[in-house]
Amino acid sequence: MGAHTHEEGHHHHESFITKYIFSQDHKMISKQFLLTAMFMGIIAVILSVLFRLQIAWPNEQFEAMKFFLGDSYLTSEGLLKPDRYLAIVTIHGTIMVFFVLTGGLSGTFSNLLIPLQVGARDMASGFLNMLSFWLFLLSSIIMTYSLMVESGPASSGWTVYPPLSILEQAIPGSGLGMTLWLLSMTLFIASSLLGALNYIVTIINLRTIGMKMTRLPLTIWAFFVTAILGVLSFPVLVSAVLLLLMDKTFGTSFYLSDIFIGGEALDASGGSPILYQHLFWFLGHPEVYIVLLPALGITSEIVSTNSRKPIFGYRAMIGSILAIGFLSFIVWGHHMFITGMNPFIGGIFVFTTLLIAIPSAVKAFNYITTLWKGNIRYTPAMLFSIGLVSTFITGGLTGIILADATLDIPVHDTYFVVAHFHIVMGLSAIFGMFAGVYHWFPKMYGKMMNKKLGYAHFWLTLIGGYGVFFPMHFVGLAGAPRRYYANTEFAFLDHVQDLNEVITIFAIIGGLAQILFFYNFFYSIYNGRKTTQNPWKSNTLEWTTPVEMGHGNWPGALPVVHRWPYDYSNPEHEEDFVPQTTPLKEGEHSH
Amino acid sequence: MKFIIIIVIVLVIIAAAQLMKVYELSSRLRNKDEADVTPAETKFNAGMLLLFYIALMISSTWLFFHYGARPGLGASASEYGVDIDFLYDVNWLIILIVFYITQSLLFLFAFKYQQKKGRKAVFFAHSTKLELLWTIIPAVVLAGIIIGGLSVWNKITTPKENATVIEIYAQQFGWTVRYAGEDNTLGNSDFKVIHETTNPLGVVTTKLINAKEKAWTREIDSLTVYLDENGDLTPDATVDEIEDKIERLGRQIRRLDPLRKSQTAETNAAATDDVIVKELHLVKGVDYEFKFRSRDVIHSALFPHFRAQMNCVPGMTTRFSFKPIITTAEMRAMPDVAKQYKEISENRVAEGREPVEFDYLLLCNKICGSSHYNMQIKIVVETQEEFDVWYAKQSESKTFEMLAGLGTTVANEESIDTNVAAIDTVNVITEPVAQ
Repeated sequence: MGAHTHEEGHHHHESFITKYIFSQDHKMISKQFLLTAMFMGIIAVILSVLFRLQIAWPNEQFEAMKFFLGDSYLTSEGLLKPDRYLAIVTIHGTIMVFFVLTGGLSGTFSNLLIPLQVGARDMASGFLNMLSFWLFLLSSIIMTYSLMVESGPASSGWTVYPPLSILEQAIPGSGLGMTLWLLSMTLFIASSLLGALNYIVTIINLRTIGMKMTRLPLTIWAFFVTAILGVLSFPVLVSAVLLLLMDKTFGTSFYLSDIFIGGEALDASGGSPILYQHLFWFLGHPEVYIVLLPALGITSEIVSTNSRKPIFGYRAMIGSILAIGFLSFIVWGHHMFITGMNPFIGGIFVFTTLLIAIPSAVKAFNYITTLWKGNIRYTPAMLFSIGLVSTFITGGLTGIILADATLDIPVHDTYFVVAHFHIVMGLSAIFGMFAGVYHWFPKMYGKMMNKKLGYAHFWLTLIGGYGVFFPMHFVGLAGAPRRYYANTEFAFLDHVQDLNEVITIFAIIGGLAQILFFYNFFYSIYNGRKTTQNPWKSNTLEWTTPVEMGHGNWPGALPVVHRWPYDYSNPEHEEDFVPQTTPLKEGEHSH
Repeated sequence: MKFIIIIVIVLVIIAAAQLMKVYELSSRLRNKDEADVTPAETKFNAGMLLLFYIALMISSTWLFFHYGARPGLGASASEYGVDIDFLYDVNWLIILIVFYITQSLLFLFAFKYQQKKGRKAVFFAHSTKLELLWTIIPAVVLAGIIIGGLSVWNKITTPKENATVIEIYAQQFGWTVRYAGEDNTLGNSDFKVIHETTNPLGVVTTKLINAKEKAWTREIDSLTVYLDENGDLTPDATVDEIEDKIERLGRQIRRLDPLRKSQTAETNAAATDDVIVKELHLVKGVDYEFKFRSRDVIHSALFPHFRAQMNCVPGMTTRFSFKPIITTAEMRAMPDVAKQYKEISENRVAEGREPVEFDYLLLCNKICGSSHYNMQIKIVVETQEEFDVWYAKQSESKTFEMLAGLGTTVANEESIDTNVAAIDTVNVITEPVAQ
């Protein structure tokens, strides 16, 4: 299947530029995505620690602010400016959601694993794949650059709701900073679409002989549904973003109506800011699963491999991925319960949203059952996967409150929401990403990462993560709105100020712990132990390639698949793993 | 300073790298495979899993008991808020049970089935019965949650008949309140006739439109005369500015026409008695229907003590109803509230700040700009008698007509025009010219 198309491609000599810079090899592109996302991640983590310092100790000066942000972000007394506080919150959110957890997660692991796990020599289109990365890099550069604009970067929250994001009179960040944000996002979406189309085509067309859809590892199923979600929802965001850009620069009024600002009645009339929210969340909610599904897919693979047990309920897992994918398109209204939408429609969104809890519960219980009577090997990847299941459950449960329009009323847009989504999609997805890096590092670089540092990194990150976001629920329940520069103006919030200080301390611990990861990562690329071909004794096809892979992945013919990927501890076999390439024994049934 | 910090960081990294190398060499000598997890590592991580599990259970339980579901907010001050609080308690109970069970299973399985040499995992790939079990149980529980939630939701969102109407108006960074007066009907409003000091809500009456038109026409005339007389001596940029202003005023006048057409005697009367104030006073036991508007960007009116919230969106009116059931004085007298505010005051005084008393507050809960964090208004819930006294005083000076300079105290039409014109002229001249 398509094997011959790359046959001649992987023998020719590659120069430095074609190998490392303008590479069309999916493995190199995957590393490029990972490194870019790591760089963006550092920025986003630093920003988050800085605004946590501000929330915990609003009237104190910090050298760190001056060191990282420079004088233009500070008042003459050396405190963070209120509008710049909103700016760094906005850029933190944008980078984390889009650049780290969408571009970084899908870009890295879909690219690395799709060809390797379906048994293909490369992506369907190496060129589009390369283009996808370069657009991603360009959009990352623009987003980073927007931090240095004199009037400040976009400051209206990562959802950039108009009119705030359109009117420069309302907040300075809605000037050049916002234009750059829109430009960067447009490029980002183009990158994302090119990537997603490529993933879909590759999975459908380039599976090797015997790789039926029902023999695909769950990683690939997750990437497949993720890519479909992306292709269906990102174009809607493009249109939302383009209309916003037109309102901003060409004087249209798609989102503007009846506005009096700066002592002047604007000409705009007939538009609706709510229209933007519908368009945004039509992407925005599938986006949650675009972030989460790859992490869940990675976890399925790692939990099964390291429990030495087949993933429990393989078909139910596929079914729940599909169900989550479908439902994610009909729940966006739960972000808008209190925008004044028709209460009847609100009721429908309550229903559809809570339905998602069912496939999610199936997934959680299936993970837990996979652990039951396993022989669990605590690799750092496995620990991160266990952490993911824990945060997925914790965060999912508080979703029950936010999905219920009635209960949403008092906590909407408070820190309760921040806690909820940071646990369920922030921590879960980043844990999935770390798990993936630890697990497939040997495949990417031919070296092993240091385990001891990995353990330290995991435990500090888990403790830091829970320490930040679990207490945060109570800050929200106390009625503290998100995106407040300081809580000092409201006496009733004094009650939870000590929690805010605790949260910031955990945030600093969690942030510093990432140094261990970065150190381990770069150290191991150069000095790590050499890996063997199949270090985790895994069944999937990527471990049948040689350690030193060229462009084309397998030196000889493509592998042929005979069985599903989860034959771990199969009683009919001596070894506790049976690679997918092992032919069925006489009388053995394929699962 | 930056340079020294960077040097220190570099040195630390080099030192760590050397340590790592020593470790790597020694483990290489012992011929360990980095992929295998040693028994010592298994023991360490299993212990940590158990420890973390216990810590998670204890700390989450402690947080729930210490802070509760509504930390520092006290009992619900609105009628339906009591239902919401009850629903919260039921949901928390369900959530906590599921949380404890699932986290226990996860961590205890992860601990118990730690790797042991020679053990082979059980090949257990599928069980329709189990999978049905954990599809159906969540489905049933969720059905209950949905039914409970939606029944309260319908109750809250169904408009009450004969509710007292109050408008809450948001702008960067404050709130304005408009009472509908005797007739319980708010007058029309439009952003085009907003005036910062005299008509902050843009309330519309025919009288106001006529006065506005006259004032703007007069302004155009005087600007035209100015240009005719001094045009040659004025710098080009200023001429452009003035011409631009004339054009804008003309456009504003044309945009008044549709407003005038939609005004009737009833809507004029409805607007006349509207009272516009900067404090929200409510009467205990009265059903209120709040109507929300915004002047500039989206704001959100959060009433934490009433468990109420609604967005304020420019270009549309949103609504929300509730009935206050506890007065401010009653709330202050509640033991837990009194104790809490005594503590808060003591701490604030210790920090050199003012002591505080309990007050209901309305705050902005949708990012709206740099002072978003301090966009608030006090709410006073009181008895009918107390309210009547307060309201009578407000009606003396803060009806729409008086604020807009159209009040009946002004003797004749001509002086009303002069009044509005004077105010509006000030407005037009100080108004910044669009860039």
